[in-house]
Amino acid sequence: MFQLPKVLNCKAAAEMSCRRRDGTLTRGQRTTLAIHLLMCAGCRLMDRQFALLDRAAKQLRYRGLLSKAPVENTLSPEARKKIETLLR
Amino acid sequence: MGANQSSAEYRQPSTEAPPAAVWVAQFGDLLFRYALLRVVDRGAAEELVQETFLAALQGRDKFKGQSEFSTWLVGILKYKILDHFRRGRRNQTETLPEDPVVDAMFSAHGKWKKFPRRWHVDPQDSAMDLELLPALERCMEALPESQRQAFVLSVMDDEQPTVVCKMLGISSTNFYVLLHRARLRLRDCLEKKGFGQSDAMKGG
Repeated sequence: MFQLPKVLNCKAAAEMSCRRRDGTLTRGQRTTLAIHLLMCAGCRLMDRQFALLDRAAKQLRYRGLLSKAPVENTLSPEARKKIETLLR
Repeated sequence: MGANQSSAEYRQPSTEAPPAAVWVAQFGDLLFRYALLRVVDRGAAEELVQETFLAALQGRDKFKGQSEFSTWLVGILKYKILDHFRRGRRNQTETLPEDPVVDAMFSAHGKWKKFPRRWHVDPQDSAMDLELLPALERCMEALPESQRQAFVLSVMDDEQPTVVCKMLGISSTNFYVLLHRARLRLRDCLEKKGFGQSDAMKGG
């Protein structure tokens, strides 16, 4: 069970910031987090960066399909040959 | 604009699958890249691509052109990847070991040892993608496998937490711990890759 710390420190704030993104915080926990974020500039940055991270990760999902892959992220010639043989 | 637009631009997806001989050349890298982002191990990714093509060859009659052929292939690959995750499932009751990398970010009192820096990326600027996304990809590859799987499945692929827990065979408590560690590590990794502003910040 996720325990609400008595005094919210930065480590706990990081976990709560994540849990809020995942929608598992109660209203009371959200308030506790909001108060910590008001007081702590570092955690405010972290909170915004987590949001950016999630957005970027979702873009990455499509980028894998849309953009040209760099050479190191392509099928090896051996694998290519093997699969082509199997498909014949 | 208008009625005279060339028919090529309105090309309907073909209802026929392209000949299997061109599959690897046309879609091999696309599938490989999709798989590599999720399983990281090149050998495993190649195997998944191979399995996908073979399944596509067997089931090619089921492709009716409802979507692009590439989309159809990715759909097959997705199931192969889920199978791959299931094969590596862990024990439900397993207690997660501590994560020394995450622990090292905080003091014994849970304060930041190194204060987060403001990032010099502008989320509104589409050019940031060119910088941020490749860096994020590298950082994701560096995550411990269980953290990466939790992050990819729930954040990238938008799967429900209950579904991810089932797929990975982990408890929801462990799932949230993995996800939160993954985000902390990714944040830290991007900062180390130079996204943090170089001038000392007092916060704000």
